Amino acid sequence: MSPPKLTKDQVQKLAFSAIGFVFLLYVYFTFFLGPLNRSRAAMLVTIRDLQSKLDGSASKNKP
Amino acid sequence: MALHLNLLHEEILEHRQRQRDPLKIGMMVLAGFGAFLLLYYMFNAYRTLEIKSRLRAVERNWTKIEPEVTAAHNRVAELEGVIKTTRALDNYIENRFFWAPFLQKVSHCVPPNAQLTSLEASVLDENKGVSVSLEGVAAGREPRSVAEDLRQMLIEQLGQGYSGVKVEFKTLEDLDTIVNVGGTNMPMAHYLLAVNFNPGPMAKSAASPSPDRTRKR
Repeated sequence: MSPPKLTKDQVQKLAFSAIGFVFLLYVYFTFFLGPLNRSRAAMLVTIRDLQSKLDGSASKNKP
Repeated sequence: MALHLNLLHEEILEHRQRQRDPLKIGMMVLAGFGAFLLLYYMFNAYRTLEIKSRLRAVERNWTKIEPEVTAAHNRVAELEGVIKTTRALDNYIENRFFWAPFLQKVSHCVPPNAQLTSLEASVLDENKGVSVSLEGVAAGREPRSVAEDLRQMLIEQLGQGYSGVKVEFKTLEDLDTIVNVGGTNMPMAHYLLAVNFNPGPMAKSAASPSPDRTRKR
């Protein structure tokens, strides 16, 4: 089975679509998923710090 | 054999071509991939929201407990200061020099025909040693030998309790004065003794009035 022959118009559309797809991926990872992951990591670090403080104070306050 | 005639073959071919249109297939794949990305983002957002709520709970707990923790830290610092001061005072008390046993030894060394007219003493810095200056007069047929006996006695007695005992004459001179001791006239000598010794570990056990004292912390 030979691949269907594409017209020039179709090739142009495919090329634009590919470029748009790459741009979309860049926007998705840079402006959506990246900041979300960063904020999540920062929150996890804060939770760990506070939890260690809480555990330390709890163990110190034990009679 | 029956003969089949397909009069709509052109329309069927167009329909098949429309179905296999790469643009259409590509758009469908893209839409599917976009839906997957959206779902993945929503999943991550949900996890982030969950972590945020956990963070709020932890922060609430910390806000409740923080004043107590700060007060406890301050109290710990205060107690550490008190402990440090107590330890310094304890060291000072334990390393002090007891003069009473020393004076007792000196009083036992002085014979009846010798007198002390002056005594100056000081403890050197950081308990490195004790320096004493004894001044007095001795009377006897040979007043210098009486003073020498006193010196020997001091070496012997102080050597039992302290280490590095040195007793030396700074001055030893005959006096013109005659003194009557027990109905006998005797010449006199003036002496000045320099005594140096270290209040070592031997001194602590011998000199301390309360040897059982233990450091209380």
